[in-house]
Amino acid sequence: MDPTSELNPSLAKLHLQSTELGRVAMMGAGEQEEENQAKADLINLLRLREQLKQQNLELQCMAIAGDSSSDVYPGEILKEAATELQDGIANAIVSYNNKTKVLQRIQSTDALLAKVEERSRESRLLQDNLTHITELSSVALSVQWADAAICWPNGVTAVQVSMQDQLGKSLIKDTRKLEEKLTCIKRKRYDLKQAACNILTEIDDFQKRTSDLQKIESTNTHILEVLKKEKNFLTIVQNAFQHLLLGSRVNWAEDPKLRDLVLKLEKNPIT
Amino acid sequence: MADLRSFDKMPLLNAGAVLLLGGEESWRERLAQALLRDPRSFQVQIHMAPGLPLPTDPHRPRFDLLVLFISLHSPAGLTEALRDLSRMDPHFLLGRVCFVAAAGGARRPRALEEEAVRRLADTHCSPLLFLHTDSEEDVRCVARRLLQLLSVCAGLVPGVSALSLASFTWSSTGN
Repeated sequence: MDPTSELNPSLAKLHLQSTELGRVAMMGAGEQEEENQAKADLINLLRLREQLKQQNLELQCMAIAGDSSSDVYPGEILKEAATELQDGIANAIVSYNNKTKVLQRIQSTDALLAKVEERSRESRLLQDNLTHITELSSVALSVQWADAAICWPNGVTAVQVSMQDQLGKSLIKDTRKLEEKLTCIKRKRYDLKQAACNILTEIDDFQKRTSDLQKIESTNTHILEVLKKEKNFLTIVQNAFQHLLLGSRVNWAEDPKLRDLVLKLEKNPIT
Repeated sequence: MADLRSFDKMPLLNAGAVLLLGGEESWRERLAQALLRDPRSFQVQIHMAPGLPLPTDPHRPRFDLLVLFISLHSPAGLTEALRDLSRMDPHFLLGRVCFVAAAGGARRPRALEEEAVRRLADTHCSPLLFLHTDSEEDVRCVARRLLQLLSVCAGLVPGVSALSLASFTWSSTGN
């Protein structure tokens, strides 16, 4: 019997196990779903390798940044540095944009010129368009000169582009400021409206209260009149009774009950 | 108090972890469902919390992206967001934070102005997305943008880091 034929099955088994182990190690301790494991072909593995490289790079960056501890530098210096760096980045982006725009323009004009020189039907159309564009742009330039008295050198497109960029940025800033002002004014108007509403409700309350007071006063005068009448009536009755007693010539001082009555008649109970 | 740190754990393989913070619970759940429904090539782990700090949990993964909900209906939305920002690792502000100004229900009154939220996002150099939770389309769009951001923040896109993406997008919005 050949010893290699005996070894082969065990070798194959070992190979299978090792590939399985490798896959498990790549997919993260075998926690992933079954279908994902089935998908782990070569392209996927390469993609994962790229991802791991990126993550490794980020972690290394953090480690390096952690070594040079930021506590040594005070915050203000860092802030200044950050603003400077941001300005640098912004400038770089702007110049990059401008350069790409200029390049694109040059390329497109080159292509256009090449097309025009072909002298076909298309080229005539293009030429007509070009002449129209030049007329329009000359008109626009003359208007801008008249407006802002800015003299742009002819043919320097990069300057124009950067100036347009700056104009656009300043316009965006202006519109932002104006929008903020608008919202401020709207808020003030809303506050004023609310204040006016409050004042109107107060006025309403006040009017209600005054009308109530008037009602109470009128009832009071009526009550006073009635009271006056009753008082007069009472005094008349008292006087009549007193005169009756005096006219009957009874000695009212002797009888205590009668004396009390006469003394009581002397004073008015209402006043 | 468990301080949230950005680089204390190893990254996950072919997966990104996102933490949804603040806002209303139903909004967070809707966005989480949309995130899970969207087709993608990597795995997404979603954690949700009403606010920081989080309770201690050793099995929590490293968060690659923090999504801060700001409710446009409550006047305390901005202060809550600022409180959460003060409790997280400043390294997160290097492109790993995204603000989502959310509003739901047409008849509920607005308490916050969009301008204030925009200013907050501007000062923290972070992207700001607006979300109307009633519209399915809106939620799907926001979920897709967040997934793109998450794939960059988790280091799954070779050649682009979260900081470079943030600085690019921030300077293009004009400041």
